Amino acid sequence: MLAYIVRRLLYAIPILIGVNLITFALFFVVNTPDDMARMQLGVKRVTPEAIQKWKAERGYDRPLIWNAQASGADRLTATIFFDKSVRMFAGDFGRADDGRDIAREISLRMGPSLAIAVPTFVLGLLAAISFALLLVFFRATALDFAGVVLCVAMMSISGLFYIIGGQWLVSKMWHLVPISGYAGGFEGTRFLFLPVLIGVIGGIGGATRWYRTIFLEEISRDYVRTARAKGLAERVVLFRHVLGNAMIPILTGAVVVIPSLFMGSLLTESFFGIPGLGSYTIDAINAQDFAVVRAMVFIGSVLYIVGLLATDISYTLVDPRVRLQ
Amino acid sequence: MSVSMNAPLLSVRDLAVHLPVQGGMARPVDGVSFDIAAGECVALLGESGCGKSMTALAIMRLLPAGARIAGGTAEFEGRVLPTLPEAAMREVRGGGIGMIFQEPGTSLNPVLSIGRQIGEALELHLGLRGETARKRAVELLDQVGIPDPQRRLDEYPFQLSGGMKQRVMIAMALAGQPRLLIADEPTTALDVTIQAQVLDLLDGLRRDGMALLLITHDLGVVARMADRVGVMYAGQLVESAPRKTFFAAPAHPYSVRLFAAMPETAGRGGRLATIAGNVPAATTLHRGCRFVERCDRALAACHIAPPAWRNIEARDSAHRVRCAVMPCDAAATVKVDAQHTVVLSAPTPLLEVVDLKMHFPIRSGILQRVVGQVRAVDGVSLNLAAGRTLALVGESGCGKTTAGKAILQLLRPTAGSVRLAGDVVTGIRADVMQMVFQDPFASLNPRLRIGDIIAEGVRATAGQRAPQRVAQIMGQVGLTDDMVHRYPHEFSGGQRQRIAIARALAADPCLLICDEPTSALDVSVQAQILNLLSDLQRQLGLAYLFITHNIAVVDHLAHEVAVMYLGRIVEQGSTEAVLRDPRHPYTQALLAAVPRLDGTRPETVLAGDLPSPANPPAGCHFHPRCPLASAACAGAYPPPVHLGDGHTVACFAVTAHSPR
Repeated sequence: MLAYIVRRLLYAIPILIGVNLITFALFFVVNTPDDMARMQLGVKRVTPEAIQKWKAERGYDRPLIWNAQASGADRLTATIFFDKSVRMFAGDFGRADDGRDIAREISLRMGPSLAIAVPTFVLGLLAAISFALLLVFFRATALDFAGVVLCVAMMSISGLFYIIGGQWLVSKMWHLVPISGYAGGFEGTRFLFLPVLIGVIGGIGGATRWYRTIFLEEISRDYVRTARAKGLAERVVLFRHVLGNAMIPILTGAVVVIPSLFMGSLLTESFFGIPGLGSYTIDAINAQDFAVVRAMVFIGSVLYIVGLLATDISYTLVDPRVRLQ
Repeated sequence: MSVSMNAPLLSVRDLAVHLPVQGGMARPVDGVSFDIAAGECVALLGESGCGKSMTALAIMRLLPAGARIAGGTAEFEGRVLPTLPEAAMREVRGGGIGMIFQEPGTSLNPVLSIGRQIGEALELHLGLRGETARKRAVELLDQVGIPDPQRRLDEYPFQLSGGMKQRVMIAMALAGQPRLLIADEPTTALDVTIQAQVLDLLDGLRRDGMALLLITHDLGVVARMADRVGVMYAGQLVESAPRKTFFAAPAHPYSVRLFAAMPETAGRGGRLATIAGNVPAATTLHRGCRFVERCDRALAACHIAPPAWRNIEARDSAHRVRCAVMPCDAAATVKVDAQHTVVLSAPTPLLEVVDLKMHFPIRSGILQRVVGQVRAVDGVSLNLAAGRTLALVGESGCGKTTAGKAILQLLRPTAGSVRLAGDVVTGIRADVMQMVFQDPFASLNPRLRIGDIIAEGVRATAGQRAPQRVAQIMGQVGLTDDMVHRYPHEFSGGQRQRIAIARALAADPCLLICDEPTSALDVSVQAQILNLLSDLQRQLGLAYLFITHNIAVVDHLAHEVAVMYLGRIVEQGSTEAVLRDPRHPYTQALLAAVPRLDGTRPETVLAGDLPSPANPPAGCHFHPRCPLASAACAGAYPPPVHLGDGHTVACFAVTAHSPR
């Protein structure tokens, strides 16, 4: 098990270098360092000298990825790619274009993101599993059919509609909670209520339909027939036998996203004015702030890899057949 | 029907199951009546789709979604099962009637421990919990012959072998102390030596007073186990008889033909009787006898009204048959032309396999270093002449399929040589060697029309003449031209295996490697395929390497036999020598374990399971299970002893001159 985890973490290094290279290439194909300088300096102050100065101050005057003028190891290290991207492996994310420290910014914005994402994830998972089990218990009845129709309808509606509709109904018409905004501590819960509720409702349709399919597939298996032949009640069959086995595919989908919860939600945070990492990323993209985008993509990849590893480890908890080696 | 003085334990009357399907109402069970007395074993015999499993599931009220009991009743200890409230029915399930299923591999919950799965039945029916439940579970596992039951309780199904899993299933079914056990094909998925162990176990339970409803397609198992036999065909019972009278003289034309289709009864190299046509679809509405379309003795009356039950008084009042023509005499009705396969004289070897080895590395650690080898095939040498059949026999896991794939070069052998007509084979030679696989449902591409499946092979060798060649091959295997544009799912199992054979023949090979080609098929369909294979051998001079576990098929078809155990050949020779005068203790045990139609039981049942090929026992691999094992057997692998006529045995206990 330990050997397996170590091996997987070693595999992660080339993956992360690859991700960095691709992000780097994509960004600089559409955006040269000169473009970045013009954007930052503003139209009026753009002169060739100002651009050169801006680039030199921030280290963008070097070659992108291969320094032909340098010698030895400097050919690789005295480049923008090495200076800006490879350093992130040591946890050095550098500074944003406005001069703020990215690492510090991330640690400040992580809290609000998690305050929205974790309750949404946990409540959404519980709601979808319960709803799916209910439909499966009443399978092939009118209730099941109506539930599936409802699920399809809910997953067909755009997430934007839930956000705007929810804000209008809950905040504007009923005045239950503020329309947007954020505050720390217990006082903040009234700001969290609406985005979490909308996050759960927006995701429940698709998840329920998927879990229902998993449950129905399990319920037709031979071991379920054996359990019924023992004389077990349908409720016991469903909870003890079917749920245990269905957790295996459900975990695949669920555990992998847990680390990514840190990243926050781009849409929800923007609409509700939450100062989290999602809105941070959106703002950085709009401002063409490569340093922040690069850092967020890098952290996203790391968290995704951790998620995949956590999925594999969680298998050993629910499935006795799985031994990692 | 019951001869018992007391009321029967289970009494089924006119039971009918309906299942709405596309294009009508299927009637998989259509008026079935029988009784089981306490402590009696009744076998329901029939081919797939005849409704025998559905009957059992209807009794247990565990029918698949959509199916429902449409009529009739089943009474168990005075309770009318079809109308019992669900809560009371749950008492019967497991508490009154236990049930075990065909596939022990999939019928146990993979994520719950053995102890938990037995424990929930104990808690439900006996109210046992905690330590008392655990003690009882250990007793149950002990009763079904599982060694070291304390440890096994905390293990999961994947840690057990197939035979062990079936024992656990039986222990689970016994936990609620049922009076009746329904066993649905309990040994079909098991190897023959393991089957013998499980049948012994079931027989012991019955002697202790448990009634048994045995559902099977295997006449040998019926002969070994049953007190009474009910033959099912197309949703109905067509014959009911005590075992002895049934096996002495089956009365229904279907039963008679079922016997004739068994390879055991046909004799070596003879043709097997087949039953023309197919089982009618379950949606058919019958007017006359259900077997009439396939019966060669049908009268005009048979088409008009369903035949009534009649007693065969001359023989036995308990022997009843639903046939207007009977009694028919088995020997007279089935005419089989005893055309023997032409045996080519002075055979020159077509296939020579010398010391073939196929090892798979076991990797472990951060750097995935090789820490061991699974010796799936460990030094196999074979010779096969053109136009001859060599059977490679062994139980699952012995390496016979891997050997076949390595010979074909689907797997690159670790060591050893394969020569074909003198030339060393190093890559896939599709033009000379082809393979027919076990499962005709999985081995044909479902998205290709069968004409295209066959043409793929033809194109490799025949070039432009493809369409004519496809038609010619389809004719050879008994398919008609109009089937070219159809897809595999439109065909029955037997027809699919014909397609698979046609696909293999398309490249015009001289050697076919057949991997269990009939083990997924019903007996009557198996007979058709075996006949087809002998015809093709005679017409085309094909050589067959026949990989199988079915001794009866080997006896019928093969010229030579090689018996494999854990990657090595333990005995090899002509079929006559190996099957009539087996010398290796494993071969003897294997042959003894095959259930016989005369119902005789093997004197010795081989104990234990096949060990893992990753860690085979030192010395002779068989010695831990061998009744003749001595100290020398653990020391070294025995060299082959030649007994003359190519009969070789790898056993220390056998010497060239030793008496049998």
